[in-house]
Amino acid sequence: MEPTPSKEEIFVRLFEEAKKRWGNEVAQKLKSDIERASEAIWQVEKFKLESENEPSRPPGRV
Amino acid sequence: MNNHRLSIAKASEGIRQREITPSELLESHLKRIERNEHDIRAWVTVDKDGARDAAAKLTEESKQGQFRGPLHGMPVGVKDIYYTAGLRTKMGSPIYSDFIPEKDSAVISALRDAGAIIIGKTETTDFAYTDPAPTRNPWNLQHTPGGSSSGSAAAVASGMCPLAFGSQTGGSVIRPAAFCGVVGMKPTYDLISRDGVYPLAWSLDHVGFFVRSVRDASLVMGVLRGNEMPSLDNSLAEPPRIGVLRGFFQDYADDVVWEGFMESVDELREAGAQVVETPLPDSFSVVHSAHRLIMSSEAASVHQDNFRSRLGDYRRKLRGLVASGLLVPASAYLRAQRIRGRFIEEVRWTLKGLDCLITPSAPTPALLGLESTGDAAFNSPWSLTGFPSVTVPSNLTKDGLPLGVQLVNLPYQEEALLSTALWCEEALGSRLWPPDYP
Repeated sequence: MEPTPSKEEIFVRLFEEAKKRWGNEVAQKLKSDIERASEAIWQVEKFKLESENEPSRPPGRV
Repeated sequence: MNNHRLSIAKASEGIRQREITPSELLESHLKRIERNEHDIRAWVTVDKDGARDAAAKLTEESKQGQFRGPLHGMPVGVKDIYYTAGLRTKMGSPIYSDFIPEKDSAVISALRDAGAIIIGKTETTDFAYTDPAPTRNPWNLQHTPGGSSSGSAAAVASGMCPLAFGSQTGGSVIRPAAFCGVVGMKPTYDLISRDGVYPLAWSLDHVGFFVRSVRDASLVMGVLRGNEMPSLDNSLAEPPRIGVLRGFFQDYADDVVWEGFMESVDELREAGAQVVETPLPDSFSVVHSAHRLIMSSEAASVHQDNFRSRLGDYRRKLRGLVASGLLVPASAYLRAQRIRGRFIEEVRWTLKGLDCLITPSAPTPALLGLESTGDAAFNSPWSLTGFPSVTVPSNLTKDGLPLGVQLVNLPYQEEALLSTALWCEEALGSRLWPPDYP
């Protein structure tokens, strides 16, 4: 099984994608936002879930 | 008589008894806006003519003995992301500087039917995210009123209107309400239609509103729900059982907030509440990350087209949110939604046997300066669950800034939540008016 990527690996992947989309100058300005997104992705990826944990249905839609 | 100080309940009774007309009530609030708006900057648009026309019609109706209900003749402010037919709706952004909707949002339509008078549109942060609006806090003009519903909170706090609508995706109702010393209510997700409210993140966006008392909140909920909310009189047979959340909330709160909060909890206990130390659910450790990923992914989808063609019109914080959301993989978004589902179930369990959970309404009092609207970390978990929450003013810091307590209950338990909130409001005895705007 593929191991959960590290925070740094996630950041590099997102940052390279940002450079491809918007160029290096814009990507540099977005660095702190990309770091925040990487941290959030890493946190949710490493949190253990069971197969019965389905995506939520917000209560108002029941 | 200072009509601007009347609660909705009192003003409504006055209109019903023909002691005051909707036009008189409106003029009091327009005068109040004229006097204070230069300082506070709560409004994008004040529709004096439209409001006066509506008030004249409603005054005529009351003279003929017609009374539409508790909002008959009540002046209302509306966050400038709600579509208002014929009235410019900017979303706080130059991208929509000329946008005039053809129809009302569902809430506005319901309010007009109930006899409310739309007095104007209140300031919002850009697209209801966190790039600040120009609004100042009536308690201290050097401080933020919070956001994103900045103008609505400040307008109610300074007596410019007795009711204003906002929205909450993270903490955009509860936090500004607490910063401005008023009651803020966020009903269950989608209980109140979001139709015609510009989205930030569909699955997190809530309609919410600001008033000066819990009783007024109950009247407004009644109107929004087609008068299904009974009166709160004597509705709580015995003091409530309240679950205090510590852990993250204690660690993350400023000392002044936590001390003020514990004083409030002690007051509630002394008044007879059963206060129960309640552990945070396991999944709480990742709820802020899950909220962030869902909000950024959905905001990216909302803004994708404008982002391509009008990038220069996006301010720094929203630009960062949308750009990072465009980079989030679908699998991470779905995993965040799965964590959300788990958290919802765990909070249901946590609430078993309790009338509500209680936390401080924000980690800080209103921050000095207008650069930041504050931190939504104490509110976003409940936006993630979609459960109803309400903030009640609790006390003042030594610097004279308001603090609030946030109460949370299960979905569709608005009536029970407001009954508990009323009990807490009476126990805390802290209905507040800013000293410079009495």
